[in-house]
Amino acid sequence: MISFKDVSLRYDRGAGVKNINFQVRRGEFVYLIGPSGAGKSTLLRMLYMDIFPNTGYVEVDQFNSNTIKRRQIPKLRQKVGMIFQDYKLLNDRDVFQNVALPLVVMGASRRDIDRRVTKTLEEVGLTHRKHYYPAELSGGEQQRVSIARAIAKDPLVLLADEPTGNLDYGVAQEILNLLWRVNAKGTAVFMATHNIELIKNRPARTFRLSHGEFKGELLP
Amino acid sequence: MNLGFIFREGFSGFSRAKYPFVVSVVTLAISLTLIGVSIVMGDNVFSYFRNLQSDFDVQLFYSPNATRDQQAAALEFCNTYPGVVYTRYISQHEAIAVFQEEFGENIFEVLQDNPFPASVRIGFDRYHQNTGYISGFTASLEQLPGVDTVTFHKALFLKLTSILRILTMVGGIFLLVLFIAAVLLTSNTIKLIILARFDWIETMRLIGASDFTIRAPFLVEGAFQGFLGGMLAMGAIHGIEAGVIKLTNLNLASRLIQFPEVILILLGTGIVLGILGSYRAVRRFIYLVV
Repeated sequence: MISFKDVSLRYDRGAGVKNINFQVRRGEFVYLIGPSGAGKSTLLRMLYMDIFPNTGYVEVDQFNSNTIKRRQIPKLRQKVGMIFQDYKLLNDRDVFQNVALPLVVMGASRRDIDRRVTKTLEEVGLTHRKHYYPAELSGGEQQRVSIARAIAKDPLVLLADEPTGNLDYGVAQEILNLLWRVNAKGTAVFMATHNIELIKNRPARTFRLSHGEFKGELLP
Repeated sequence: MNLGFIFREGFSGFSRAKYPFVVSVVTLAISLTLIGVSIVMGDNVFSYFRNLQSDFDVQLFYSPNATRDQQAAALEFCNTYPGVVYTRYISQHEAIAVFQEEFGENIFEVLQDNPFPASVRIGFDRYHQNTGYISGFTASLEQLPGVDTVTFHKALFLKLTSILRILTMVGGIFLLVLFIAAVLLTSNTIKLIILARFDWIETMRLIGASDFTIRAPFLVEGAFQGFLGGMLAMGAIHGIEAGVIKLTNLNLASRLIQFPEVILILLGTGIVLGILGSYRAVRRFIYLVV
């Protein structure tokens, strides 16, 4: 479902990634580990086609980075859920409206939106907070809202870029457990983190990245 | 994509970014006031010259020995000529009265004779007020029996025509420059709104919104701002007109209130300006985000 084939990208300022090759299957849970600046975010950005490789190609489902047209990128992003360290929630909307946003954009009916948002908020344990604004929530709760928004549209893959970076260890564990529950329902999860300690108790296929180079794969 | 979402997002712009919204509306109102005042002023100047031009009518003088039938035939020729809007027959007796009114002397008492021939003043509508057409008319008229001379202030008329042509051209260029300046100014202030909603654009792009879905609310917001700017501009122009009339006692030939086209033009221009300004701003900024 995801594949990187001989992917290299060099930024103007010099850093980037070199000769990356790997594949992720449908429904798989994969970690991408490495220190800050290793190129983890670069690989994730290539997956949602915010940036494109100089050589090689990235494939997500039927979308190929070499052939995708600009107008097709929103279609790709509707199939890919994304969560970030800084949550990227809209502070002028409540939890329900934040989670509903991708469904509204995709043109879902009001009834369908109500049903799916309610169900998703149940899954992430935030039903009681649905009329709260992001500023009224804790960091862990905000990340749950972010996860709910990403999975409400039932994506093929959930991309998580340092999703626990701003959270303390206990909350980070809860978020990781939640990601595993999302995965158990069939959504592939591709999680970039530098927190090796956190993922020790939840082993999965792991790609190691350092200075933009692929340093091998660890199997659980 | 549902239009309800686009309109909801567009109309909620004010509550989400109040200060940039107000700045944009005021900028649009100032631009539109300039455009509106220019239109009203231009139209008044244009009307003045147009009226001046219509004063230059054609005058036909009969021969002293022209018969009644010849006079009637020439008058009939004038009345049926395309573009003629009025004819006024001035008898010899009336000509003396006109002279006395203008110069204060009764020429008959001075000369013991009436030197004035009977004449006809002929006016043309604005669509036929061109020298080529009127020259053709005077040439035909001079051929008729009983007609002595036909006068027409061609040089002055030509000068007025060229002044009107220059006024039209300069006015058009001035309005175009004003319009372009207004688009640039508006798009710069609308950028403030876009900057204020940077997070919204970023999130929308990440969740898979199309460019149209992201742009359209800004265009709706721009149109709304343009409409509000147009309303404010109308109020400002009314105020300026009232002030000018009070201060100068001028009798303006055209005023905004008597000129419904200007109201429509202002509102329409406001909406178009708002949309163009937003489009220009959002087109550039949207790609800076994710």
